[in-house]
Amino acid sequence: MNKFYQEEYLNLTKILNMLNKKYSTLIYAEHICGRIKSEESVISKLNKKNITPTLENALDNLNDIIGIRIIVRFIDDIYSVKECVSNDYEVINEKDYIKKPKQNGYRSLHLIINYKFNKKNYPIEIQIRTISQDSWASLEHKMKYKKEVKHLKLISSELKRCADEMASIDISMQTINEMIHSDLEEVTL
Amino acid sequence: MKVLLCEDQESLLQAMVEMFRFNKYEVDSAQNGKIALELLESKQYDAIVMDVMMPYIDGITVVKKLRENNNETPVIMLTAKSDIDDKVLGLDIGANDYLSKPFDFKELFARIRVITRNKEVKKLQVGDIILDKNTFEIKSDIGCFCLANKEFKLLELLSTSVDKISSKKLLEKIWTDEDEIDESVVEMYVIYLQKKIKQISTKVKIKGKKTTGYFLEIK
Repeated sequence: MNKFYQEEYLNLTKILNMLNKKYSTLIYAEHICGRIKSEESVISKLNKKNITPTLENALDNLNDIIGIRIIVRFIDDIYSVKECVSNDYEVINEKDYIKKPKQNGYRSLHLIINYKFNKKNYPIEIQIRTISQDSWASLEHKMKYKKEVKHLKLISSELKRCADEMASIDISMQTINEMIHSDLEEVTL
Repeated sequence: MKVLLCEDQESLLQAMVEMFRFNKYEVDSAQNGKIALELLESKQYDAIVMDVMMPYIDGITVVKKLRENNNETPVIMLTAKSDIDDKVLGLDIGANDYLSKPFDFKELFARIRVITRNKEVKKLQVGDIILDKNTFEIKSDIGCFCLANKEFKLLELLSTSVDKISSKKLLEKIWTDEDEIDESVVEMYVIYLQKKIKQISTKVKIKGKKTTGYFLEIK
């Protein structure tokens, strides 16, 4: 039994496993991973929002207690996965950081879905991104959580440049993939 | 700024070298076309002043070879006052400007400034996007992509041309280092660019077809 989540932990684990199982069979999914937010992260996030860090408050106020990440090969696959998710669940929020990347270069599609389980509503965050976007994000994550980074400014600007290069390559790869399957005239813009 | 001065009259060449250095230009000099070509093979210049009549290899041939090798360094031809044919020929084979001898140095420097002006522009505003020649980035308020070298050149060529450019011409200008390649590569790169531009721009579009050529539409 988890100290913070108590009995709720079993529900969360069940939901996570069901979602994992459901989406790992998607043809677009290169791989999929998920997690239940750690007690430490929940408390820190609630504190930042000036909310008393209790389990009830966490369930009421946080949308990413359960987080699923679906990694795909091509940009278009992201939107195909989104369509599948939207057909399966009610999407209550969407943030498209591919069409509007974050300033640091971060690209990904974030959906919050409403998952009904045991007559309760659970908001769940689903992040969908390409292999290259995922590889970039894991490196950026390393930098963000390292306490002291030498040459921070240089590394940040180089990461931003890499993000823009990778995004460009992702589109080129998408086009090549379409070409393999059709004539150039049929490639969609 | 680094300038190559090509002139066979030794006294004039010497005077040019001194005047250019006095005006803070970095200069190399060549007394004939052969030396000029050797220098151009090993060094990069921002501008070239080229006399038409020179021994061994004349100025026209040097400029022709330069352009055949896709070296786009701006060139001012120095011609004899009466020789209209030399002026026309020089401009036709790719010189950017000409000046008749005898000339005033003030005018020569002004013309150098003009032909190098575009080269100094490192950022090109095209509709709502900016092309950064230093980083090969295309940027807008929405986002940014770092393009591959040939992609960037393609977009740059389309942005600086008023007319449609044929696939053949684009292939010749950009894919200079590859022999066994056909025009479908141009089409492919155009599609890459169309998709990328679509993501960050609401005003710029590459229009056209493989058969008719391409152009940039800015709303």
